[in-house]
Amino acid sequence: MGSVSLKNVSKSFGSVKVIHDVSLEIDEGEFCVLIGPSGSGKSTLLRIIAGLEDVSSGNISIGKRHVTDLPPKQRDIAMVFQTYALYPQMTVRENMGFALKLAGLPKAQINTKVTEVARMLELDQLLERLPKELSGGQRQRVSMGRAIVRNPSVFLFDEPLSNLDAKLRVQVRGEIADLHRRLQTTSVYVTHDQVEAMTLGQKIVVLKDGRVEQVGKPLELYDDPVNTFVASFLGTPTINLIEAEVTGLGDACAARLPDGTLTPLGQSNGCTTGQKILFGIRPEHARLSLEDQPGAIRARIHAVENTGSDMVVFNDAEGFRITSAFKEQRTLEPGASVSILPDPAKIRIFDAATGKRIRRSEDA
Amino acid sequence: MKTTFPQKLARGAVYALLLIVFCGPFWGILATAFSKTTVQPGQLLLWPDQPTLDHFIYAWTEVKAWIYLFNSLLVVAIGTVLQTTVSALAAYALARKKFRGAAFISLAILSTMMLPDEVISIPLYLILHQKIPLLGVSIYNSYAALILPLVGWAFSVFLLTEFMKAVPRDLEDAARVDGANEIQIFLKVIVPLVKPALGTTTIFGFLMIWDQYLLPLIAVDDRSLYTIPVVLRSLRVDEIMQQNIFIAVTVIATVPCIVVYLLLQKQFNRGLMSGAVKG
Repeated sequence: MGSVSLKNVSKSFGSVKVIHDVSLEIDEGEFCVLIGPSGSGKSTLLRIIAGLEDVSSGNISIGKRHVTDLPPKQRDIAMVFQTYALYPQMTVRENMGFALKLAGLPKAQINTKVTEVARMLELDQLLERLPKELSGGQRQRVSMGRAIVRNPSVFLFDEPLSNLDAKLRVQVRGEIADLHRRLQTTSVYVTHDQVEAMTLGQKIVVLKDGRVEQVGKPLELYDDPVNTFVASFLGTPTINLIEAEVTGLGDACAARLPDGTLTPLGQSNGCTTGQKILFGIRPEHARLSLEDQPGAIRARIHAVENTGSDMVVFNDAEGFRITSAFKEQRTLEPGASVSILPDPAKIRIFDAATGKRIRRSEDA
Repeated sequence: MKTTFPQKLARGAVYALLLIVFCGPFWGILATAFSKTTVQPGQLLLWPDQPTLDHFIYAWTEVKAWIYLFNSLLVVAIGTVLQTTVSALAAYALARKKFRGAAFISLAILSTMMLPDEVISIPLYLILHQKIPLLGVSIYNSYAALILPLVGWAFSVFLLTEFMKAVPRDLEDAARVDGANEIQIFLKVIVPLVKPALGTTTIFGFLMIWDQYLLPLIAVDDRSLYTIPVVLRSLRVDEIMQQNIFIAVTVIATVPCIVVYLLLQKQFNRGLMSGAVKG
């Protein structure tokens, strides 16, 4: 097992720089998720760790070894691919034993290891089948088995669930989590799915345009985003970001929303009146009520989505939209007048120009 | 849908016509080769007359067709193996590797397809006569002269390149992570996946080498190195040679092609089909 350390890693393809000076520490045994929209460089970063892409500058270490210039086979890593990448002409057994065979292990030993891992992943009945005779979920398990058999220092997962249907995805996600609990192998996992990131990751790295936006534990990122990108990338339904202006309210500050509503920001340590901000509140922290409440945003229901376990209500206020989400089942019809009250402790404000978080004294 | 009798009849007629057009000449050749009755050049018997093996025995012992058959088989065996190997390696580089000048090399290989053999015959003749440095001899008048010019064949390079491009890159990456080196990736991942295409290029390569006529004429003048097509031609213009014997040698020349086709028929059709579907 080993930690993974990236120091000032940059990567260019020709004149296009895709990774900008990324530094990252992944502890031994940690499950680290790289998340970002397509083109954010997360897969490239994973391939750099794997040794499938070389770096333009910077250093990579796995465990205590510098591996920057080493080929993949000397890095002691195993990778699970989005497309599974099983060798079509080989049986499950041959696929799983391929790396061991290349390493020159005796046949008997390969067989023992493959059988052991196959049993662990419940693949023992499928060992003589070809990949084309397996379902998507089984293929994914074989490709994980192929990685586990080698007992590497680090597992690399490149969007391993994106080719599975929704139900299977949840199941395999659970299997991956179980596996990590059992093996405690350092894992780096790339995904664009924030649910996967939140449920699997012990550490999440949010990437955008080849730069690290924020690194932290899942809830840290969710509750304490450093900018609007991270705030809106994590969380479904996505956070409400409303253009507003800071104004004084007695001896405290408030945000003046486009409809004129004044929402107290606290900010006992002073505020810049007139500053343009983005007023952020997560839907589950925007309490919806059918009765009029003092200081609440008045709005009209635009649409209601009910999944049975959750209700998401999209509301039109004057000059902006605001989403509210809650667990309890209520009878709500589009067109109804509602009032929405943001939970003052959960308000997050961002600079309108830069998108950067403005920390209130209450946030700490 | 049910086919009516006239439809069946029409279809049968078309099949019969195709059968006559394609199999007729074969039948005529066989009938003539096994008949005692002699024919004039350009004539074929439609039915065996006084069946005999005499022409074959004569072709084998007097014309010594076995020498030329051996030459042809040797050249085609070594040539096909070398050609397929070189094509597969070249295709791997062109399909999977990024290197400076790749586009130019592709174009250069492609351009060799535009040149008819006749155009390059004089340069080729001169090259074959070139003395090899250090050895001080040329390959002219040797098996090497019959084989080496055929080893690089643009058609098979391009067919294999297209097939190798279709192999997902993830497989190559997976093999690399699994610890495979370049040669292992080529042999254990890429080659098994393009087997149908390799079957196709092998058969086409076999036929292409088997049919060579101009090259042996240029490459050797020692009759003992002649291949079957060259000998056929010389028998054709030999005025005292009996036509039936010429035809018997023709039959001998055809047999290996038919055997190879029957052996690799499945691969052949699959290769053609997959090429067609890929467009």
